[in-house]
Amino acid sequence: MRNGFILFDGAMGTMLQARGLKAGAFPETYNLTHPDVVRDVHRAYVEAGSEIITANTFGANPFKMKNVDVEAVIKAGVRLAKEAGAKKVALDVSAHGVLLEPNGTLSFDEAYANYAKILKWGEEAGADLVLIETMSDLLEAKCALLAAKENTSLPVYVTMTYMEDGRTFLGTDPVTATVTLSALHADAVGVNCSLGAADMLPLVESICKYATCPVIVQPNAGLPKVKDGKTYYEDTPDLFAAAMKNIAAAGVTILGGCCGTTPEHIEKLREMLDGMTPTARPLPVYTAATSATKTVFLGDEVKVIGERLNPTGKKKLKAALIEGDIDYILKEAIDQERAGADILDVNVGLPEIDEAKTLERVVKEVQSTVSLPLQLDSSSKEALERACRIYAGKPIINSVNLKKESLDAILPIALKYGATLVGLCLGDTMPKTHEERYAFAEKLVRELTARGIKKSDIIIDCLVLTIATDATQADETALAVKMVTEKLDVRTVLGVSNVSFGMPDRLKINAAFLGKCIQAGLSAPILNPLVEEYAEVLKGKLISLDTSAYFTFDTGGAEGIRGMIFCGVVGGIEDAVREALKTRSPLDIINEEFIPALDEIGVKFEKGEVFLPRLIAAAEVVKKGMDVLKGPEAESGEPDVILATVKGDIHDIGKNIVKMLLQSYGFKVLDLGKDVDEKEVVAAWERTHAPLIGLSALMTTTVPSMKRTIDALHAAGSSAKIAVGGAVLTPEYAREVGADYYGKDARETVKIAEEVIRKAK
Amino acid sequence: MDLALVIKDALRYLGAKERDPEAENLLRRVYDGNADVFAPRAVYGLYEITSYSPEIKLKDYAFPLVGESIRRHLAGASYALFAAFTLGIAVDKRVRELSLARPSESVALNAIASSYAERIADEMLLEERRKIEADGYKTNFRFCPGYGDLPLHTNEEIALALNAQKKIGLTVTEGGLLLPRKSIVGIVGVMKEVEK
Repeated sequence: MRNGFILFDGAMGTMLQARGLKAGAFPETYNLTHPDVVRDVHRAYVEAGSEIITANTFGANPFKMKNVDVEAVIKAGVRLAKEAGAKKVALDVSAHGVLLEPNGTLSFDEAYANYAKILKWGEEAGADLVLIETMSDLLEAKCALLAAKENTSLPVYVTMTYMEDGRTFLGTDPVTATVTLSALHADAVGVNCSLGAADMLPLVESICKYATCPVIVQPNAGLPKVKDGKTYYEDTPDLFAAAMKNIAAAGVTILGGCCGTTPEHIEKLREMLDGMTPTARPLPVYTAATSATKTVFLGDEVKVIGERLNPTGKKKLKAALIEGDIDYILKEAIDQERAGADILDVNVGLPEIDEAKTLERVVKEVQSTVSLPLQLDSSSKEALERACRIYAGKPIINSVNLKKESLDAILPIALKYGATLVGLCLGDTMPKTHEERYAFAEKLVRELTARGIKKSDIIIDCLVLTIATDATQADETALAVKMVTEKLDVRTVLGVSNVSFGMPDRLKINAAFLGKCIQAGLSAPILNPLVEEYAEVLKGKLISLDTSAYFTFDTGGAEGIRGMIFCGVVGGIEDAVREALKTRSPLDIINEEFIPALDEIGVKFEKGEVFLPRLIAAAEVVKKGMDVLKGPEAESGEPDVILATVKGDIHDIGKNIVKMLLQSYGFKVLDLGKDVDEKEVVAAWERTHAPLIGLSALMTTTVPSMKRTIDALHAAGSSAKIAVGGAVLTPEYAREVGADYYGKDARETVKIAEEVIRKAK
Repeated sequence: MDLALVIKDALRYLGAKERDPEAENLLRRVYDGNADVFAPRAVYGLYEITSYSPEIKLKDYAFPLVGESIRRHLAGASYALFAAFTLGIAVDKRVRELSLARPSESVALNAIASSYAERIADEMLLEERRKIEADGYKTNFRFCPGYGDLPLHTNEEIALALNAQKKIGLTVTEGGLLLPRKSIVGIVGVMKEVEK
């Protein structure tokens, strides 16, 4: 508009429903079947003063519209808007309507491919910009935004939809969405649909506070009401325009309407905007990292970056990474979150594995399980690129240094994905004094900002060197932190524990050093949040993990290890087993303590005398005890059992219970996870020749997938026995799909495993 | 919401014996520690039935309702009330998180969430029924896709018609599975009250 505002149009879907569109039918098919109706709606908005007309392409997605020529629908949609006299046409893009992996079954790559097609068709048809709207999933919004940036040259506006609690259905808050999407170079960010304009104001204010691009707002005409069987929206055009006045005053410059708004609403909005000028917003400056549901700002108070997801010096994590034991990795993530970490460092660098592939998988799983932002820790360009791409927020990249190859590899990735970047005070030489460190930091900031990184997106790592070789290093680092914080005005991180490398009593040294650095102004120490000594320094920040579960039961007279298993006492079992090891062999402990206790509980469970959580609590205790007996080395070796929830099914609770009980009986389990393709099961068998394969399916619709998996195994010449289980399975079903065994429950499956594996051995 | 009934159902799902105060107590603690993730939401749509054969058709609704079971369920009905509920995605995440941190609590929470979803769905639906019944109708029970021969893909069609993804965050996979997991889609028959 002449005065600095941009005016979008109002609703299409509700307008078409008023003209006879049936519930459940795709409004976009009207582009082909009722072009006059669609064009008329557009024209009414043009006449009301809309400068940007949104093409009727909201749900036009090859994923949703099967047996429809989606390209024709999209191209007709853009054309109709132009024919109606639109000054500019926005290609309307939205969600797939299903959840992305690992919560759902749609892969990021498939979603990206769909978006790429839609966007190319839209640009070919002559769209002037892209509107990605009504998004609930920040990762899907990012996917669409990347597809738009990589496949078209159009400006891209992105709006999310929030509920009355201020979050999307998937838990994203407006600050997190704004920080993330702004960093990813959206040309405007904001909110649509959700609530009425009046209720939306607080959301809009927080978006305006953090958006580094223009803000767009398209509310509903209030809440929907039903009267005489008809749905109507409560905000009249006058009410709508009045509420939008406050929204514009908050700093929003791109405005329009969503569900229930009509050309009359837009006309009133235009009249109101004619009498206003945009409110100038100061450019926000902050250093932050986001997950899909949380923003962590660095600077005000100390934030803890958890360091446990790093295989250096950790045998068990190393084994888990090599074997793809994702549950072990996730448990490390969860423990750190529960202990009070704010951000998690993720490093999977091992010579034995494909780092890029592994980092991508670990990031996918960790971000769907914990809510903390991640710090992606790698020097591999490929690994960082892949991880940044599928990461649902604004990550921290750890790290870049002054070496040319590092700058050339890392900077383009940080820029493209809007990451916050750790600059390590290291170049072709290593700094010794605080002055040298500061000089490196200054050079880093100069170099990085010259190449396009915002200063506020830089965090400096002043480099911790061990005091074992040079006692002055602790003080030099702390002094450098103070200088960088005060003189450069840049946030800092440090890998605290490096200070004591090669020293005795490391935790005490680390804790003392941590205290010194925090006094110097350190923003974010990288450390193990489970260490008590750190908790003492970071008073109130870290909490010790409560190891006692809720599920502890009456002993019924049982004592010792068996008693602990019987009662579900998790805390203390490790010490008890260590004590027992002084006088007894591991095999003795397993055969005389673990197995009899599990059997006893198992029999009671079968009889209905104890309930499932108690059986599982016993298995939990045994699993902890087993870890003490085995140590990390025993983790390797071929599995006894392969487990998978079949393709198309993502119910894995039952399968996980089976896994846990099998493990507590000492069976080695290779868990392929859920929604597992038959080829993957066959490949796992060919690799390991495990004697038993357990498949689970919960839905009638996925039982055929179970049969396909079994057929594929047989076709591949598998000699493994196959056990099946899951809610819909029956002994008859099990026979029909070609299984050898039907596992009624976890206890039954243990019996099957004992039979099969004893025979095999 | 009568918590005692929720716990009772959950205990049954978990195979607890008839009276087990210890187990009951533990489930209450799991409920108390996790009820913050329950975010029940519902959306409804009332559609007039325009034909019964060869399949049931509804006014302003794009798909037919197929099968004998739904025909029996809606016999004599003037309207079909579509209802969709969900407890929200946060429950699924918590169950997953606990399955790694505290497995026994995870299965307990899973059972509690299932029984809670059923109960809260009934409770929310009751309000909707009352509105309809105030206009001189009676309603029957909630019939779900997958019951009898009503195909599971009906879930997806009803979710589309109710705009359930946008309104309550309910999605349906290609296999007809509802996500978030603790979700329910159902059809209620609405009949004219017979004059006494």
